[in-house]
Amino acid sequence: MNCFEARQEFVTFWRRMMPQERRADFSAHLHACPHCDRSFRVFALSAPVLHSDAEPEPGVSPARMSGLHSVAAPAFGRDLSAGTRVVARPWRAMGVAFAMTAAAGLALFVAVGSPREGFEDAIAGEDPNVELTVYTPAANLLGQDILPEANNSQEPLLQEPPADLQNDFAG
Amino acid sequence: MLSALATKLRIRSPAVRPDEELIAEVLSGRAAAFAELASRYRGKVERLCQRFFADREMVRDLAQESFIRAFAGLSTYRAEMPFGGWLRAIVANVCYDELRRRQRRPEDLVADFSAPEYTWTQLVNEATPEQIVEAAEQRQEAHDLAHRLLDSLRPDDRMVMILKETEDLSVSEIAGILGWSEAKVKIRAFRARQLMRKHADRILAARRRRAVR
Repeated sequence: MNCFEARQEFVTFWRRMMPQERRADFSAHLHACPHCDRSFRVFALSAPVLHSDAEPEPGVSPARMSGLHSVAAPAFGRDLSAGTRVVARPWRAMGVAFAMTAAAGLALFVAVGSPREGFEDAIAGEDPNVELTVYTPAANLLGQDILPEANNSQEPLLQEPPADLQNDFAG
Repeated sequence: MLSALATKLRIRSPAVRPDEELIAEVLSGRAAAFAELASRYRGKVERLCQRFFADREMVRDLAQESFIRAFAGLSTYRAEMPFGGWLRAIVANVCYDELRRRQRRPEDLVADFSAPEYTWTQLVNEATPEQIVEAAEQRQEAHDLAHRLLDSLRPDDRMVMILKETEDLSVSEIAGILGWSEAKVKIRAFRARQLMRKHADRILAARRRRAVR
């Protein structure tokens, strides 16, 4: 594992979504590379808010969404200086475990019901290694419909906030 | 493969009514249908608010404000985009409003640590990566310090940082939500990342200096 690969894996590692064999490589690299080790520790100070599942505590949310609590799909920060986006696919490395998690995910999907749309996380709230979103790689964690064709549009991808809110957010 | 199967099957529980149906009911005068809609999204709304604010009461208030705005502006909702995406834009702007209202100068992050925060920074400096990850899950001070770190950012920078890092939104998506140009989003994202690294580095460096003494 090189430095670029290691730094792209910070979030995966933080969310405990890294396969065991890759964790060993990652840890070994951080142990050997003081720059990446330092970068990880700097990352760790903000990660509890930016990259952890932050569920509301009981009593704050008297009505929870049925069955879908956790942010499950991996979210990766982008290195703007690199100009590329790296989206890890942890399930590619799951191999043998894929069939089991897929079955569990399908059962959960059936239990929950409605198709994934809008402000919902992937159904892998129960199993963070299962990716059940129907969206393209450009889609976000909250299941927004973003089709490749839409990216070429001159229109904003997202609907503007209600008209009465526009004045609040003059660019 | 599984996702393709899910879309093809489109299995639904008979008890879960589509968002569009509930929205149509609300717009036809049955306001009670909005309660079901709000219940469906309350967890996600509060979770997004929690990315911005640590205070539970504040999170609850902002979530409530978001739903009020959504209800008031529901007639402007267009079905071309998922209701959740539309609602998220409202939540983001509600939180942005609050950030600007509370705009503070960057605080001195090195001073005035609580004892648990002090211990946490020591652990971040000295423990293995695995130990850090495990400890962060159990320590409220890890979240508190992360919030303080984010508090050091300007509201614009903080909004972009959170929407990029936690929601994994693209530059154009963030620009659409906040009504900014893409250039502004990119600049803010780069600035936010640089500042976060700088401030976090200062915290850890100060802690190491004190440990040496």
